[in-house]
Amino acid sequence: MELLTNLFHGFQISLSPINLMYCFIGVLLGTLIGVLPGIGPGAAIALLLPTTFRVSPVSAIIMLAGIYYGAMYGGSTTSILVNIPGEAASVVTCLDGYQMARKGRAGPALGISAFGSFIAGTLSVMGLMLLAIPLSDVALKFGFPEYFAIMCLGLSIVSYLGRGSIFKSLVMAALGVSLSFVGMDVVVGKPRFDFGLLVLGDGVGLIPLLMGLFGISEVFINIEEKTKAREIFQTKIRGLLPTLRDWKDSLGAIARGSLLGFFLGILPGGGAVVSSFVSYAVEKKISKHPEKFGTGVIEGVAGPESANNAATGGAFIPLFVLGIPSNVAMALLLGALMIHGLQPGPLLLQQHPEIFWGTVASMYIGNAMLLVLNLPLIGLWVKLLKVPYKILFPMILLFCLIGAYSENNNPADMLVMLFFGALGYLLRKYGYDLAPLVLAFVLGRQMEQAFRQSLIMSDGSFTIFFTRPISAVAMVLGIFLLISALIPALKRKREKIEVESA
Amino acid sequence: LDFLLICRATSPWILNERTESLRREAKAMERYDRIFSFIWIALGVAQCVESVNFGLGSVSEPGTGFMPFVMGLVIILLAVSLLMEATITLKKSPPPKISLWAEVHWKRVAYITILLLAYSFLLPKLGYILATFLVMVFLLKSGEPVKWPAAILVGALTSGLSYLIFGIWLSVSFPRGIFSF
Repeated sequence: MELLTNLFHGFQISLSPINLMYCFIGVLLGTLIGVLPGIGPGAAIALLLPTTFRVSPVSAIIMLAGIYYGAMYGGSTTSILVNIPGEAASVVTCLDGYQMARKGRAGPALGISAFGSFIAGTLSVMGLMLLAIPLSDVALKFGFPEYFAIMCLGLSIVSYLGRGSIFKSLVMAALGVSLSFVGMDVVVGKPRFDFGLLVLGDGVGLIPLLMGLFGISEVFINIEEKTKAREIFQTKIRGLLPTLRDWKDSLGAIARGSLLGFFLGILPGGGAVVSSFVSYAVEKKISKHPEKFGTGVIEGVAGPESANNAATGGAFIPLFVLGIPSNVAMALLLGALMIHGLQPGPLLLQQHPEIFWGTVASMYIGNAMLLVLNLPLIGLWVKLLKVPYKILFPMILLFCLIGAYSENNNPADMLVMLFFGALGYLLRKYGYDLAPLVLAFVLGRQMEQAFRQSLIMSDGSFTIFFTRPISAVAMVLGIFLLISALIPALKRKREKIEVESA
Repeated sequence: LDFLLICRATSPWILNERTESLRREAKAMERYDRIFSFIWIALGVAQCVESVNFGLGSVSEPGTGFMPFVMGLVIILLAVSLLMEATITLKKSPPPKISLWAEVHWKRVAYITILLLAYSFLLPKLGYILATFLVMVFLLKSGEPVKWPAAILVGALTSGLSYLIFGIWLSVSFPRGIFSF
């Protein structure tokens, strides 16, 4: 009963005109970002973060969350029509979606991905609603060692899932933690690693760092490429409504995709991208006609598109329950909450339930808005694709500049952002994955505090991380994962799977 | 574990590397892993030295420099492992020698970086509207060719509109510079 009262309260918040407006702006912008290749949801949230400084925290989170799940909707449109994924989570949708479009079935492909997204999105919000509160009661009992161990496990998983050598990802994670040390030591109030620069006195700003690493460096990577002409597949989109047969074929895929996506969304580093790939692999494996995959089967669109939307709901669980973001977009939401002076975690759920319930309720509304928004507006999105990148990229850069500047009205923050833009560009070029760095940076301060407090608790004994059951399990899992990446037999197996799936 | 292996294997990077040239480029990157590991080692050492200066405290009462010192050690350890791994790969299957810079517009990237640097210095002096207009026009000209009139029109529109949105609606206080409004 309490659940319903809370949800009712949430709807009261999210249905207020101002929050409805922010929800609408969020999902609209999210779809737009999802449609445009070259800006992912992470960069988009970073770009729009500054616009939320002056609104209430609930409205801010409602809008930023809307961008995140809206982008998952929008990404499929370009995958299907143009064979260019609007964002990484829609890469697999290209495989069968584009083939369907070439066969003149663009309509049903777009339709099923919108409906699948809606169903999966709604289911995962329900999952989030049901799981978050009980889990947060457990999380309240966690002490410093548990938090430290769980953060270590999270970073291990992110590094494990990263690109190329595991050492490269781990170096990035270590560097991220180290970057968070810049500025005041919170425990004793001593400045450190600020190189005597005023702008670093309070630490490296999250917004300049993220905008540099994900906004600026992304533009650099795109701009250095020799331009490829974008070809928009000329087809009349008729009948967006999938037929009864289409529904029969895809319902199973949508259900499995929703489940997979939700649980993979909870895992750090997993989220929307990985779940869409896994869903495609699963559908292909259990299909009666796996050979037809890649020629335009509707399950190949319905599964991954459902999975990537379901993942967005799952991704909110570690953020709200533990205050630990599981991907870059969530790290930004964490940053947004912290700018408003709120520290996500189990205490937030108790002290400011309106934020959680308002967001959850707004996600139901947002998913419905997206369904209404997406189907009739597809023509408009396709037109948008024709805006050339040479016009687009200066605007993206300008947004980054304004964003970095406006948090503190300080031009020096723009320089910090440019530094990370150049750094991110170089690191990307040499095959380093930036996700471990960003997540580690966001978690760094908490990790240090947890580490120091744990050692004070145990009077200097490192065994404290292994004698308490929850932290021991997390530590052992993390270590096991990292070692497994090094054992030659398993390493070969990993590479073999890489080759096969490529 | 198998499940995670599949997750990792199906991660998007792999799909991106489907095309032969990209796969070769990814391999070519391994040539530079050794150079980078030396950079990381140097960074780690510097971090450790700095941390000692801040005071490590004791294990039962860690000080300001304690955690940075530990992380510095971790970086050194990881970088040495990377160095060894890269050396072994280099011997076993030497990556192809392709430049990562030859076939790309890196000059364009450098030029844009300089433009953005200039913007951050000019913004307080010229004021938002003028500085933004100038940087937008030059940015528009820096990529694929945009004609002058179009660049000037788009530059004027974006600087004006963005001022309305950010400066007036969201009340970000931009430097006014040589304009007094």
